[in-house]
Amino acid sequence: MSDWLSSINLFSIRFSYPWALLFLVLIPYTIWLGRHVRSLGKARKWLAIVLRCMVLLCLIAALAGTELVRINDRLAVFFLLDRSNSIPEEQREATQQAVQTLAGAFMTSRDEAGVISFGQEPSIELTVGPSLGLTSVQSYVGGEQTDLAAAIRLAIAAFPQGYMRRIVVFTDGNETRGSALEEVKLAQASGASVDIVPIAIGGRSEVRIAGVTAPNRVNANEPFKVQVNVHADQDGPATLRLYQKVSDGTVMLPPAEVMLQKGANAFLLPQELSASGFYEYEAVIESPNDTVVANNEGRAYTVIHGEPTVLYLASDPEHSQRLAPAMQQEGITVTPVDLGSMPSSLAQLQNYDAVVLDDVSATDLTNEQLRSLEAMVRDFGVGLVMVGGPNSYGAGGYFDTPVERALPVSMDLKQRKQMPQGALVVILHTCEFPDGNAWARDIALAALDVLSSQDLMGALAYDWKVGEDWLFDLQLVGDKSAMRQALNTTNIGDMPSADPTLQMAYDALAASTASVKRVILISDGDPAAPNAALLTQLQAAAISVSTCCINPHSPSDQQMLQYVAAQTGGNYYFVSNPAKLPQIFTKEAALVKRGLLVEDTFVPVVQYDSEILRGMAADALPPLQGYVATTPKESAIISLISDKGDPVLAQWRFGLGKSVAFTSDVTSRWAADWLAWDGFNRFWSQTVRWAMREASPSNFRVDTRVRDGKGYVKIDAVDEQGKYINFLKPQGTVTGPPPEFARQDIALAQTAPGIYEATFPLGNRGVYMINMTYTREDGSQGMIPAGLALDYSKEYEYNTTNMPLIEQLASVGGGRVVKPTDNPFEHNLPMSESVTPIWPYLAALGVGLFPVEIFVRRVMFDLSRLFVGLFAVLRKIPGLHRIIPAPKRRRSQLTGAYGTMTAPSKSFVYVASGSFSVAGQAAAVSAHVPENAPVADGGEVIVNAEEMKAVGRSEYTRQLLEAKERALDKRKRRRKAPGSPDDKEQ
Amino acid sequence: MQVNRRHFLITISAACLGACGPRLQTTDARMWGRSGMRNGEFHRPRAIAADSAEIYVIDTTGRVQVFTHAGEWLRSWNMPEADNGTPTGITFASKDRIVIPDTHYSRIMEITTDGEVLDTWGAFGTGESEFIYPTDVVIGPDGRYFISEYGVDAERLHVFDADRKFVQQWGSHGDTAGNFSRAMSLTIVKDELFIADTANHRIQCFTFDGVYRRALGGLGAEPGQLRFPHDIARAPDDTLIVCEYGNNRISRYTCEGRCIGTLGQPGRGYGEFNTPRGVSVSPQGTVFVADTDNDRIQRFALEDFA
Repeated sequence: MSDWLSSINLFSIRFSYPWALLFLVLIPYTIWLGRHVRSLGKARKWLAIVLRCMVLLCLIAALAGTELVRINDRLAVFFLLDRSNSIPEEQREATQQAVQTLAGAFMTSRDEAGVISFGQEPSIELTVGPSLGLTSVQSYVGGEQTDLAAAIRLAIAAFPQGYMRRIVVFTDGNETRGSALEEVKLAQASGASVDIVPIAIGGRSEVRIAGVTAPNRVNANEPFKVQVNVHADQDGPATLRLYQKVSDGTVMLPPAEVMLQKGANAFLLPQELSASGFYEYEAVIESPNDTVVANNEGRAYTVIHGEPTVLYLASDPEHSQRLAPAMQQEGITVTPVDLGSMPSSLAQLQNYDAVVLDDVSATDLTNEQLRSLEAMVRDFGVGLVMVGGPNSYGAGGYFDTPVERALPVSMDLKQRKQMPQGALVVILHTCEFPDGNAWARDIALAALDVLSSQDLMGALAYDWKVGEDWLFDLQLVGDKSAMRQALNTTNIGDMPSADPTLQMAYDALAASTASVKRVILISDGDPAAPNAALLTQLQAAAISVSTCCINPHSPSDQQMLQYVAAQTGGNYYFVSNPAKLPQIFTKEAALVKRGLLVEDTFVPVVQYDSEILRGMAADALPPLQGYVATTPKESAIISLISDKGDPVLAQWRFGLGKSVAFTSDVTSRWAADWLAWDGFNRFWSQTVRWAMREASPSNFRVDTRVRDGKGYVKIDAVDEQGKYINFLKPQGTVTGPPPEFARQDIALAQTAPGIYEATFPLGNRGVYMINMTYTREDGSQGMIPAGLALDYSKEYEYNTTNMPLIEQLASVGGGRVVKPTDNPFEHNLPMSESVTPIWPYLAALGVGLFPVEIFVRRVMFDLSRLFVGLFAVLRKIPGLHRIIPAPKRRRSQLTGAYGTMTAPSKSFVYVASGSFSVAGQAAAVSAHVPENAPVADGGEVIVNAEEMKAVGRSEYTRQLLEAKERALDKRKRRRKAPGSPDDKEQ
Repeated sequence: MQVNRRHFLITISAACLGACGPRLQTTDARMWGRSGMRNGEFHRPRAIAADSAEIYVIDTTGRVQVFTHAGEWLRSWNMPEADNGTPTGITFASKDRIVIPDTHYSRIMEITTDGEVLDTWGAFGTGESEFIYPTDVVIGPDGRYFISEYGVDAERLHVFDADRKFVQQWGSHGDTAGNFSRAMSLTIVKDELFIADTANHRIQCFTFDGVYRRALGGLGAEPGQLRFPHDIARAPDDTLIVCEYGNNRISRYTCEGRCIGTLGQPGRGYGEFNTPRGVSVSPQGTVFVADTDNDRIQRFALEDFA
């Protein structure tokens, strides 16, 4: 009852445009006008006035934007649980228990609560609801970082409307990302209070690497030192290990037994290197006085500057027998690698001055390698040379890859009229792992991207309503937009059996005329196996089925997919990382692109005499037996073309670097005559030298470090004479660590003679590659490579609760620093409001009342008829007809100038009960009332209605005629009388 | 336009009654549950079993929730492990003991009605007392365990005696009589054993000794045809209730194989399903369906089958 009473007071009215209330002055005026209307009876007049005032009120209220404001006293609480690694596991568990205890002890029916866990990112564990059953925290939020700001932002967004809102944060206050202070201000502005429960950490004995530094650039054979800074909470022995990492492996240097003192310790480790390249140093400290292992390592890197080297990667060792020796004979240092030892990080690729890919398929390279190759050319000026073959360019799945962007030719062949057709059917089975369906869509889209507009593609999936069905039939790819849309909007169901979809794929592919036919099936291995007869049919029709197993429930689930692939000549893939899926599908889709190979003998034609062809006679070029069809890019220089006009040798500048595409190969398959040509070595050395990175000045010193949580880079520029070089305007690009390789541009400001500095934000742990260019006053340009190693997350540096930040957050957010046992469900917050605009209803009501008001003024209605109608209806209810009598017509009396008259009325009177008697207004002559007519209570005469109608009508007419005659007589008498006004006029 | 006085008055009266009358009931005990992790919420419920008073539901998070027949939540517990996957069946062995084939952990669990594990038996493999994916358990009148299973080289039905000693097994992968493609559910009617042969779209009937008798269904959407029958249950009148994943409906069959009614279509409303995976019939004849991708349980009477 009290709840109900209090709710009455919880409503109020608010106006968005109160100035419109000035129109209320029209109300008195309307009343004044209405009162002076004489044509209406009193009651109708006032009814019309009231209605008109209501119409006006409604319209004015609507114009003023009336809103109904409801004040809510219900409380919603979001508990934010810090799951970052700076908090020991047992304390994280205790926090979870504490929240459950609080909810059990203090939560009432007027409260609702939810839970968000956060670390690197926030996740809603439980949405706000009337109960809180937090048995365990399920979400993985990443403990490497603490992003409290994102958690508060998520809580504000996820609060339900119309509640008092409180955020209770359980944290140690050590945020490593974002600014919780800013979010707390926003939370307060939105009406949410932020209380903080500090989690006490500390008391652990800790030894950690505070930093590792090495000079960024050192000349070969020049001694330098690697400095390792170690922080210890107490004195004690430790072992310091230093690992030296280069692209071809890791060398462990002899460990040092050291004695740590409480506080900061620094160790200098002398080094000297002769081989040029990029070296990464990793220092590891091991101590019995340590608790957290994650902060026991640190990294630094240095570049040893020596002779230029080329990285040579060939898919088949046979290829390297000819090209690598050719370059070496021309004085180029070549480092041959195979696919397994191909560097993947930018830091390692930066070690080389050019990279040569000899018939390497894109699908043999990881996404990280593909992105690194592009970034290497664009941001670091390392040259890229791609040598063709059946596994390269479009046939190697390079379409729409980062490497394609770096090359002077495109893999898309829209302009060619005739292309051999490939047909691909993708079967998508929902995979029961997070975002499984999203991945399935992405990989199907990746496969679609590889196909050209003239290929055929179809996609099959299980639909919960219709079962196995085509997302789109096997059809020409065309402009891909319809297929993209179909894939993007599909909801993939859980397919119980692989048999029906494979049968549908077989039927469609068997009927197509494509030269290459392929099926890709992605699944968790859960569906029932297809029958053996179907697999035999697929094999006989040369339709290979490649299968891809992700997240199987059991290792045995793979067997079905392996069996299908083996039976049909397809490939089987087991994917532990869904990020590799698009790459696999690209490879599979690329297999239907074998038609891109052009295998005819031709003599390459010189179209442009570039630097690469310097000194070679145009007519001396031997014939080639084939190449991969590509399309030249707009700004590329095409030096050699085939007899069909396709590019054979193309080159261009891409970002800071250069790249070359040679679409034929260096084996006996296509280039038998070239291998015997005496200009072979010279051609390739000139090609690679053209692409190589330009040398950077050795007299510039670069310093990089982490300062105040940001990356810091400084260039100390002096010329050969030791004078400062000013006004260089250095600019650069910072490429973050894998897997994102996030790029950011930096501009270095000159802060002193010859000194240029810049800072940049840091994210994930790893090596940040920095490449800077500068322009001297004389217009000459140069390039400075550098790097920065970011070690373990700051999360592991913290060993105490950050109370200053916690107190600041509480004071700024209007909240409190509370104990874990304090009641978080106290209703001491300003009540929240939920606003409902009601002006549309008022406007509709005003418009609706307007015709009613007109009706009241213009139409005279008889209330008695309403009653009669109502009673007639009520009489039809069984039992009531005995209580309510039947209506009868009544004759009523009217006294006028011609005497008292009675007349049959349209109104009725109830004989049995005088209380129902209603007065009528029509009249009739009383002399004509039949003598035997019944008399009602109150003396009224009741007559037969039909009889009265006939009598009344004739008597009334006679009376009118008599009155008319009397009026005419009167007028005649007046005319005859002397002195009358009529005479005077005559 | 002349307004009919009678109609006008009736309309006004009805409106007044509607506005002043008691609020209509909006909750419906015929179905309950929604997506979520709270009590009474589900994430793809798939195994269901009803006794005379309670219903047990296992969803794909591994939670076992117990409800009254009216959908009131009573209690819940978690399966010991659920990372690999969750059980596809649940069976009452006695008043206070349930048997759960822990499908993705290749074992059979015997559990009290409060979630206390009494016993665990079986191991991964294709041997006589081993399983790949045990899907359902049913206990015969003489205490024998019948266990259906699928997996590579393990599309079969096991029989163990009351002491869990291996008695016999039959079936292999295939679509001929006596073979299976994804045997997902079992039930016993009188002296016959019915097996939902899911990917063959049929129900096979055997004697307790493994002698093949007949098959029900066949691929299709017409009454009498089946599409991925995922679960079967026996009604008190010895008819079979079949849960069809592919047709999004529940069908009722006589033991002889005559379809005597179907219920449901794809959708979100009452009597509509989204890939249902479980069905159970209480001793009183109430049918409960695990409407899997709608994250809820629906309740029907046997008379609802048209």
